[in-house]
Formats: sequence, structure tokens, C-alpha cells
Amino acid sequence: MLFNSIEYLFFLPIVFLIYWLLRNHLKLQNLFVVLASYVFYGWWDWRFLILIAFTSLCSYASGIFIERGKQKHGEGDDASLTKNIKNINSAKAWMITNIVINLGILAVFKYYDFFVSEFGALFGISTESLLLRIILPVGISFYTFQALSYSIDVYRGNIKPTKDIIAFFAFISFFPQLVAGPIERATNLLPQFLQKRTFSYEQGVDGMRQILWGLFKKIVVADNCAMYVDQVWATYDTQSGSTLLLAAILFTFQIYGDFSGYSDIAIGTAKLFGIKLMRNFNNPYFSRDIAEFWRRWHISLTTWFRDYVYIPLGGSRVNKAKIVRNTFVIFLLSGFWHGANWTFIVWGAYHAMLFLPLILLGKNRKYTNQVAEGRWLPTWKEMGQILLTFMLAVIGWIIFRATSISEAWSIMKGICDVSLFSMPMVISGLKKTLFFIAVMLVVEWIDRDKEHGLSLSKLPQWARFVILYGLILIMLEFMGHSQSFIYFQF
Amino acid sequence: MKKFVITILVFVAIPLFLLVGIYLWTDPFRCLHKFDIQDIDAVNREYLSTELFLRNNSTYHYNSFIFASSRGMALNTYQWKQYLPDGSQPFLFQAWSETVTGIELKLDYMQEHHIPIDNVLILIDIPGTFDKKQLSTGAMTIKHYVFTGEPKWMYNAVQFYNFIQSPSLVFRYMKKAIRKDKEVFFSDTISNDFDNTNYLAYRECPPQDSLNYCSALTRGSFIEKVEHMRLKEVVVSDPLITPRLEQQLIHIRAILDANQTDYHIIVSPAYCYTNPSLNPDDLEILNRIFGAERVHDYTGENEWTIDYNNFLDPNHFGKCIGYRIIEDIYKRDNEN
Repeated sequence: MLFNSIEYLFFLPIVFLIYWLLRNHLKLQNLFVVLASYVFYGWWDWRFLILIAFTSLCSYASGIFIERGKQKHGEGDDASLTKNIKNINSAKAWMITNIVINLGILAVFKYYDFFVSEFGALFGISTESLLLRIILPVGISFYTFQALSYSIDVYRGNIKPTKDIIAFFAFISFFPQLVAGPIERATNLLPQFLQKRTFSYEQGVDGMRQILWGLFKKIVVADNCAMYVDQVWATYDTQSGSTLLLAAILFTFQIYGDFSGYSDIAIGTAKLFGIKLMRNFNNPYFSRDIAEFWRRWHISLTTWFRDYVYIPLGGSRVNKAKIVRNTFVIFLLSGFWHGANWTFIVWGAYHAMLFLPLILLGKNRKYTNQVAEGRWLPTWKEMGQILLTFMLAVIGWIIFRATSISEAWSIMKGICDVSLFSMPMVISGLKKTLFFIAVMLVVEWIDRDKEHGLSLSKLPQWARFVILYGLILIMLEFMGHSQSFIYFQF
Repeated sequence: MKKFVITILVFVAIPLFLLVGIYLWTDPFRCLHKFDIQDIDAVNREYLSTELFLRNNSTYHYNSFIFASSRGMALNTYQWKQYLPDGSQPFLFQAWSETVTGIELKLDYMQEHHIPIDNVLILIDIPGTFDKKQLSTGAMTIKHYVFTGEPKWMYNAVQFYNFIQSPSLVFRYMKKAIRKDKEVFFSDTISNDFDNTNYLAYRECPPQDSLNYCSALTRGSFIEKVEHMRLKEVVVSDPLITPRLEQQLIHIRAILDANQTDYHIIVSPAYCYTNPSLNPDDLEILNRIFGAERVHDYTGENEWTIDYNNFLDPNHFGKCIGYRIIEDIYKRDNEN
């Protein structure tokens, strides 16, 4: 079920009302969350419910077995010590088993065909008969990583495993963030399912505003950008440099509007259920360098790789050769996480190369505050930094959007053509798309220290109503052709 | 919690009541009150065509029908009538984005109500007629309830939902209601022709005629689109006729046979450098079901489709091409 669908318009209020009617029965309420989430997910294809249930069950069981393995015996005598070492090994084995199972499922569904066909191409073997051609279950990478984080955190002792299977299933399948994140950590989300939730008026109203803002970014900004981008990308070999550049810039806003819009809707919806999800975007296009960009873009995935891959590899507290290795590992993995295509891998490598000089010079944490803090406008220097970082991101998105490396290369070559100085193609609706991008940027600039662009905290109610009605009218009138969310495919 | 629910209800109720009032007052889709046939500015062409047909049939006793989508606005029943037996009364049964299901439902209805179906032209769009979504609920494309059999209130509820989704429609009809504007959408109240101005004028098909036919704005945007969307070569559409659609087409043929209908299937031309041609597999299916001599495929690269001057926009051919199509199919018919 899509957030921007008519079904969801009925689904959400019904689930909301039943959920709060069950507020005095925690187990029943959690059971209802699981049920609603499975309906939400099964709306695409009910068969994939088996997969998510299996992932949940494996991770739940692994948590219990890991904890059992970690229990200490005796007082330090040799026999107890041997038993404890055995137990620790068994805990580790359970964690690894869960990782292998979950990554195995992910590998089969997402990467198997890619590896087989690449292997065949490398050795000139026909692999047609070996390809599985399975449909990729929606959001598999998101919930798999969420499940993995649980068993790793239990092993590390960051969280006690839960015996409450219903709460655990709710944690894995919670519908607002099930198919496109934020990728929650068990340490944040699971405890919320283990205790009674209370409804807060302020949180509920703020959640509704965040949903509205997310919808605006998705259906007005992203979907309108998509019309131009899709048209240009389909005929990129006949387009002028200026048109290609404009399409690349519009795709940069499309993917932001699409994904951050989804995150806003997810976080806003969770607030209606008394659940606080982590922030996933923090104005990434106002970043002053690429390191800051990565602290603000898809935060839940970036921090996932940081906590579960980068730091265990030694992070930046190792020699320079290892820093280079670690940086490439997380960026390549991050690229590969998006899909089985060389474009994603090259996209990851491209960002690693941009990130590397900053980390080697120790400047990767130079900008940790909001840009132009306490000021209305950025300085000229900040403006230049923001534009440079933005253009570097645009180049990355060309690689990301392309279906092959050669396509990405052709588009980049096309941009570096004398036709870059001609007038770009103008299609119906382009001006309004650019206007709405400007609206989004201005609103997010003004509210850049807030969680989302529509906090409206200092305005009287009538003014808030006028703004909200205005936004709804704009959405109804200027919505682009409805499209699925880009990140669902990951 | 209570405060939150009340706030949301108030927030939703204020515009909802307002919109219900505006909808009842303006009746934008002409489906609540009886409408004046000369004052039609509604977008749901299927509903209006059907209402006109239902109102007129007892007087004019239609027996010849053109089933077409928006592309049918370039066809003219007065020209067609010249090729039909004496006493034929043609009607342009036009519905935006007409589908196989739409045509099938209409023929079923006629069969059931013993309405003679002596002559039929079916205009097929690629890909619209074979669209996966055969029964749309969009404001412009929703099927009339007499064909679908759904209750009238359901039709109205869907149209109300469509109405509130488009603020520009709300403002447009409010303005019209306040000003008491009367706009004529189509001029022929008997045949339902989109424009029955002297069709003979389109015989020669000079470019300026077709360009004059559409507004300068349409022409401009079309040329812009063509410049940038133009493909290097004509592409062939993917096969569109599914086994289910094939069964529906067979059913249509059965109805036509049962009524001894003289029919022609026209696969409509479209500007070939932006539109795919009919897939050979689909053509084969159409030929098999309806007979090759009755299927006229004008898609792909041909003398009409290579020149954008023959089109109002990349998808809609001009009146001059409409004229030539009818001329061509009956010329072929005579040859056979």
C-alpha cells in the first residue's frame, strides 16, 4: 500500500482509532500493530509476508540463543572458564547464523541474478538458465538491516533480548517504516513496543503536519520532477547539454523529495501512534562539504554502516591505509545496498573518493552545526560551499539514476558539450516544478533547525489552518503523475 | 486524544461541507440535475454522450455508431452517413480514453435493449483502447452507470471524490455558476459530433486547416514536444491484447454478427515519431477476429503520420485525416 494512495487514506484513520481503543491492552495493541502492518505489506504481495515473518522469527530466536550463550557460569575456576568461552562462542555462532540467514535471503532475492550474470559475462558462459528472475520483495533491504541490528546489539550487550514475540514482530514490521525506513535500531524502537504508549496532542498534530509536508515533497516536488527527468532520460542521446544538466538537477530534487518525503510521512505517522522514529534527513542539500552531506542524507543507513561495519573495522583510529580501506568498504557497501548494478557500486566509489581527502586531512567533522546558525542568510563562502557540494551530489545522482555506466558516461559527456550554453528543453509544467522546488528549499531553509519544514509552532491556529489548507490545495492541483517511491525498489 | 480527533474532524469538515455545497450547486459533471444540452462544459464525455443518446434515441432511432476515444473528435458522422444505406442514423459514441470493455459494455447494452446496430466504426488507440485498466474511475473517463450496472449514488460519490481532487475544477465551476456563463462544448445535439462545421472543408487537408483547427497554443506546445520527443525511428508497441481482451473482442464480434452489422475496425493514426505502431501480433489477433478486410491499421510510418501538421497534438489527428480515413475505408470496401 502506498502512502500516497486512496487505500491508505482509509487505512490510516481506521488503524489509528482501533490502535488507541486498545491502549489499555499492550499485548493486544502490539498484536494489532503486527496485523495492520501485515495487511499494509501484504497489499503488494501477500507471499512476501512469509519472508518477513521468517526473518522476524529467526532474529527473535537468535536474540534468545545469543543471550543464553552469554550467561556466565561459576566463579572463575578452570571448568567455568572453559564453559564460559564455549558459551561466548555459541553466542557468536548464533549471531553469525542469524546474519548469514538474513543476508542469505537478501542475496538470493536481490543479488543472485547479478552475480550469476556477471560471472557468466566474465568467463563468457551463458547463464540464462541459471537466473532466478524473482521479483524483489518491497523494502527487503530495510527490514533485513533492522533485524540484523537487533542480533548484533544483543550480542554486544547494547540491548537485552525480548521474550515478547509479538512486540518483536511489531518492531520488525511496524508499517510506517517497514518498506523504506528509517532503518530503526532495536535500542530505540523495541523498548517503545514493550511499554505503554500515551497519546500526546502536540505530537499528534506535529505528526500530521510532518505527513503533510512529506506528501508535498513527494507528490508535488518529486512526482513533477519525475515527468521531466523520465522524458529526458528516455531520449538522453538526443538531448542538449543544458537539458541533461537540468534533468540531473531535477533528479537530485526528485530523489530528495521522494525519499525524504517518505521519511517524513513515516515519522509523522509513527508519531500518531505514540512512537518516535529516528530522523532520516537533515537538510542534506544545505551541506558545506560531502562529509556533512553524508551526516544529513539517509542518516539511518549511514549510521548503520558506521556502527556495524566502519567502527568494527577500526574506523578512523587506524593507520592511513586502513582508513582508505574502511572508507571504501562502507561506501561500496552502501552503494551495493541500493541494488545489484555496477552504477550503484560506482556511485559508492565516487562518494568514497570525495570523502577520502576530508577524512585523511582530519576535516570530515568540520561542519557539525547547521549552516548560517543564528543568521537568516549564509555568507558568500558558505553559499559557494553549498553549491559546490550540491553539484558534486548531482554528478553522483547521474551515476545513480543511469541504468548502466555507459549511459551515465554518455550523459556526463552530453552535459560537457557546447550545447550546455543553449536553452534547455521546456515542457509543460516545468516552471511550476521549479517554483515548488524553490518553495521547498525556502521553507526548509527557514525551518532548518527544526525536525521538518512545517512546524508552524509560533503561528496562531487560524494562520496554521490557512497554510495547511493552502498546501492541500497545491497538492491536489499540482500533483504530478502518481509514482511509487524510488526507495521501495531497494 | 479527544481534542486531537475533534481538531482533525473540524479541519476536514469545514472544507468538506463547503465542497459538498459547491458540488450540489454547480453540478460540474452534469450528473445531478437535468442539463441543457447546449450548455455543456463538463469533462466526462462518456456520460454526456450516453445521456444525449438516451434522451434522443426514442426520437431519432439511432442505428449506426462510432465507438471512439478523444481521437474520434476528428470523425464526422455527416460524412460517414454518405456511405451508409438510406435511413441510417449515426451517432458518435465518444468517451475519453475509450477501452475494449467500454465498447463491449455499450454493445451489450444495445443488444439487451434491442437497439439496432446496423453499422459500426470502432476506433482503436494504441495503447489506450487496450489499457490494462479497462474501467477507469477518473472524472473524465469513468463509465456511465447504465453500462456498468453500478448504483447511481456510487457514480456520484466517485465523481464527487474526483471533483474535490481538483481545486481548479472547483474554482472553474464556481466562477461559471456565479457568472451564469453558458459555454457550448459540442455543437451537434443529434449526432454528438465534436464539431459539425462544414466537413467538406477538410477534404483537401492543407496543413493550415488542421493548424487553424486547434489553437495556436496547442500547436506551439505540440511542436515543442515534437522537437524534443522525436524518436530516431518508429518503434513498435509491445503486444497489448491480453487473452482476456481477446475474449472480449471475440464477444464484440459475436454481437456484431448477431446484428448483421456492417463494421470496420480502425487503428487510429498518431504522429509516428512519438507514438508506437501496432504490434504485428496484435494486428494478427484483430485480423483473425474481425477479418483482415475490415481492420484498417494506420499506425506506423505512412504519408499521414510522418507530418505533424496532420495532428492537433502527438496523439490526436486532425479533421482532415478523419475525413480521409472514412474515405479510405469505404474505398477499400468497394474494391473488395
